[in-house]
Amino acid sequence: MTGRGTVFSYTVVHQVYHPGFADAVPYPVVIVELEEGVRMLSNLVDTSLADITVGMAVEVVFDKITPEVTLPRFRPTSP
Amino acid sequence: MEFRKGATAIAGLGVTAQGKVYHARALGYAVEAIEAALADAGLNRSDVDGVLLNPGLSWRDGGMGSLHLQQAMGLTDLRLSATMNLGGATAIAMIQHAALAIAAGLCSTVACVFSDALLAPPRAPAARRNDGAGGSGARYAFASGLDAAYGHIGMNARYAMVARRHMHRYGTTNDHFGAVAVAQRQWANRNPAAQLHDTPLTLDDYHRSRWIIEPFHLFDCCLVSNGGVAVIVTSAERARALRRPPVYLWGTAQGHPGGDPLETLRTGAVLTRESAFRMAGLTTSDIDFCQLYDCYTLTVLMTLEDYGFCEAGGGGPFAASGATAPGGTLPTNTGGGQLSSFYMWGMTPVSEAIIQLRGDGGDRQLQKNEIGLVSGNGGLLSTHSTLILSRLAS
Repeated sequence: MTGRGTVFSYTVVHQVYHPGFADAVPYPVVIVELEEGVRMLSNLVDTSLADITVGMAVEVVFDKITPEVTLPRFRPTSP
Repeated sequence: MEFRKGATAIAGLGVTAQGKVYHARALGYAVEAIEAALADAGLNRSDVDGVLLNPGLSWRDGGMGSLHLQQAMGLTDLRLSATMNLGGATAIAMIQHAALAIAAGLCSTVACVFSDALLAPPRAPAARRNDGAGGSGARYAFASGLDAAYGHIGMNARYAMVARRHMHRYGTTNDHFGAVAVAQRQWANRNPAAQLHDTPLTLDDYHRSRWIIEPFHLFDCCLVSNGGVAVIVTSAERARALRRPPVYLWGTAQGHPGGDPLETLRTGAVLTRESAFRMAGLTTSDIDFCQLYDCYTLTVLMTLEDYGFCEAGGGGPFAASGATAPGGTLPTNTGGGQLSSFYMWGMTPVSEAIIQLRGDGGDRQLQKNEIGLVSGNGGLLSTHSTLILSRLAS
């Protein structure tokens, strides 16, 4: 898989629903439609909240959170 | 007896105190609501031979709640009992189930009830108190697996994703969502029983209210309430012999579309608009008012579209035109709804329809009050039910 796709939908979370995200709000949650046609839930990184649009082109980045856990996230594709 | 338009009726309505009430738990509010509904109808516990329960999230052993409810009320010799859960579509589904059972001769007098008690008093022990994290409905902030890892938590998050797609596909804006919130608050300001009766809301107030999960502001999201609501369903003939003017069932249907609501952007109303209206012998032009499930402002817009009151995607401009507000052509959620009155899942719109049809609306009473349309919605636009009620027998 190429790891590239577009934003299918997104939200920006302002409410703290779990203490683990207390320092993260406001943060974006996105559903990315990958080039291959599959959709997946993730976060957007390296972007200001105001720049997020449905349809924007994104590419995957792998966030190595712990030695055991890596989460795929997405950033805007460089033009 | 045939299950047809006008064969059954709602003979009693019971609504407990709503909102930040703490004198009972969910079972207690259910008992209170049924007792109030029986008193309203002029009936006794011994008259009840059917109990249907839709348990809110706070019910212990909610899976068999109707058994506990029967025992709590000391009811004997029931012919019908069920604990049902389609989320917010259950209230109407219970009424439909009761009406079918009555028409089939299984039973004669069925209590249908919803109750919940998620809110804990401010000075409750920490274990019971729902603190700031999660807002007033911590039990709705469920999360698991990868969704939780990405901070995608609870129902607000899921509906917000659908809302963004609606905005993208149809050009719906926050002004449109705000129009729904403002219109319903206007209705609530005329309803002394509404939780937000004393608080007006302008479109500016709506926009300035804090973000919950964009595109939802605080006032895009429904209240959370402790309390209970019950109705008594009987045959039309029996209802006519009782204390209050009967509210007749003219049409009812369920519709659960499946698929991905992010793709389809539709509710089950597209499935029921033909069947429920056919049973009632009506079209949408015959509807005097709507009581539509309003867990979010978005849900109202989509439901209006899916019933055909406006074209697909046209819900926003329709609401912004003032059509649903006091003085509008299609009064909607005339008690304030779940957004501004109280949140008893599907019983909120059911109760307001009954109040309007009986002429009990006080300052918010509609002059045209012959036929009302009620919707229920559950999950993520997963389940849906429709009820068409009238104060006329046929």
